[in-house]
Amino acid sequence: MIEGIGLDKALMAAQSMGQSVIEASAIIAVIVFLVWTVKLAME
Amino acid sequence: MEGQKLKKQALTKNDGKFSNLFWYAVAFSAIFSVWAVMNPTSLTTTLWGLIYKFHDNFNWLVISMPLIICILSFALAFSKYGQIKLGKKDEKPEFSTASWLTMLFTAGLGVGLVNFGVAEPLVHYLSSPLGLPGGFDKVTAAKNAMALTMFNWGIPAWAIYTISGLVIGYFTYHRGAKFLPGTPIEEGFKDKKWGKGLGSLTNILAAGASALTLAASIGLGVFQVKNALKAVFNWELAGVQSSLIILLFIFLSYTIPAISPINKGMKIIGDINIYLVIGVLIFTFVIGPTRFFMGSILTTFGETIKTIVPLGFNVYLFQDRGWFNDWPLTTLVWWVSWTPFLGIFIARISKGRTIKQIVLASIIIPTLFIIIWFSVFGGFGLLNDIAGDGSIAKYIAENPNDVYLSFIMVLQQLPAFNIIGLIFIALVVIFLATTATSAAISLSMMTSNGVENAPPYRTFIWCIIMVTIASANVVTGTLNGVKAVAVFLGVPYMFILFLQIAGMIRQMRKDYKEGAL
Repeated sequence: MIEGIGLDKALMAAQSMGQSVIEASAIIAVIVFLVWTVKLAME
Repeated sequence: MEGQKLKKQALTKNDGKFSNLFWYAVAFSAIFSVWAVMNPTSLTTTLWGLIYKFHDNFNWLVISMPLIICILSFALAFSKYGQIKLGKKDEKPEFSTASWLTMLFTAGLGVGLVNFGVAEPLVHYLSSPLGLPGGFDKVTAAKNAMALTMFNWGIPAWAIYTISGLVIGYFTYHRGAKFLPGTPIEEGFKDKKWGKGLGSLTNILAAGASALTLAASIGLGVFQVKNALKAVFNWELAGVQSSLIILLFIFLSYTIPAISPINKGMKIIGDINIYLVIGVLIFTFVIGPTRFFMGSILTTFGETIKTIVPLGFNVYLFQDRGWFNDWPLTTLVWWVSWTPFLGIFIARISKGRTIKQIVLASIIIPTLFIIIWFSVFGGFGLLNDIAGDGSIAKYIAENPNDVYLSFIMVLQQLPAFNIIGLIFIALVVIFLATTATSAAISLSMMTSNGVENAPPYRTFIWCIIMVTIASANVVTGTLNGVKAVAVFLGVPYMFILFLQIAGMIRQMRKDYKEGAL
């Protein structure tokens, strides 16, 4: 039933997108942390 | 005078009781140790999964981190801050330069020099994208393997250790703060609300990480000694009893120097260690193919200089992730996981030395020695594959998770193996003892409210805790769990190290402006 309407593919795509967003957020957070650390050192 | 008296009284008072940090650190180590014993598979799978996830997303940070730290260290050394002395302006170094370098070197390198002296170049030769799988001919693959080994063991590793010592040393000896890993954060960011809390958290993480890292090393040491006894004397030591007897020997070998005064215990064991290391090196150099070794040393030296920058900015895009995760990235994080106690130890032995002296000596001299060591032993292993029977490379290819025997295989090819094999066993035990001694001293200082000379009985308690964790894992055969924890803790500590460095630079700039330098 789910396969029939392509919901499984949509779920998989959403899951993959969710993971990408989490990983990208983590990378951006670390970059922000590094910039913040440099700023702290230079204060 | 009054201030000195008060400080002395405070320290004496604190010496008499356990700081809260002691109990937190014990609880922290206990949770992971129990988890490691009860459910090693779940712990190992969970933590390695997280470590690999971290490597996949942050390989760009891990691989470039040591070079950035190295550039920063040299910039500090040659800046106006380079002349800052860890201690009073007229303070003389507590240890002679030779003893200082010996202690620094033996505590920092540890038994890995023996475990991976032959194996590491061969692993890169056999499985890295710059080795045979990358389509390189044997000679180029061998050269690349040495360059990769030097990247993991040379300047990058020592830059990480050096900065971890400097951040503690600056605050303790220059500003009179406590010998605690959290001090650079607590003192450097005194005006920030989060400074104190994060400093305390750092102390707990550092003490727990140190105890677990060392327990893993001691536990592994038991199996290494067993392997060595089998190879040298053909003693088949199966069963828990023999493991516990070896563990007892290791325990005594690090506890006796740890509870002795540092200028006796640690100095003597460090000296014995360096004599044995140099003895084995000279023996192999003279008895083995000396002409080849000279060429190998020069080539490795050249490759190290030529490749250090490109390798620090290479994340092997579109290439094998398994090797990259398991070797360069894990090794670099592993060095970071050693910094909580090595930083304290390096700071403790570097009193009376300037930042410039510490940076130059502790990065350049150990790296030069490592070039010679790997050129001889690793070079021998590579030579065996290119011009010999290839038995060592074959063994490593067939036993990728148990490469430690490769060092003995090299020694077995030399004459008088019975004697050199015995020295090899002594070397393994002494290396473990030296590292465990420095860790017990550092742990004791950390959990004695950061005093310079912690009471021996507290050091003794840490010696007992480390051997207890190790024995639980040896008996249950669950060492991989503790090993995974030790590597895993290096990840958060890397970010702490960045903050510690920022705290130190911030404080230096402030002190300079206020004319306190």
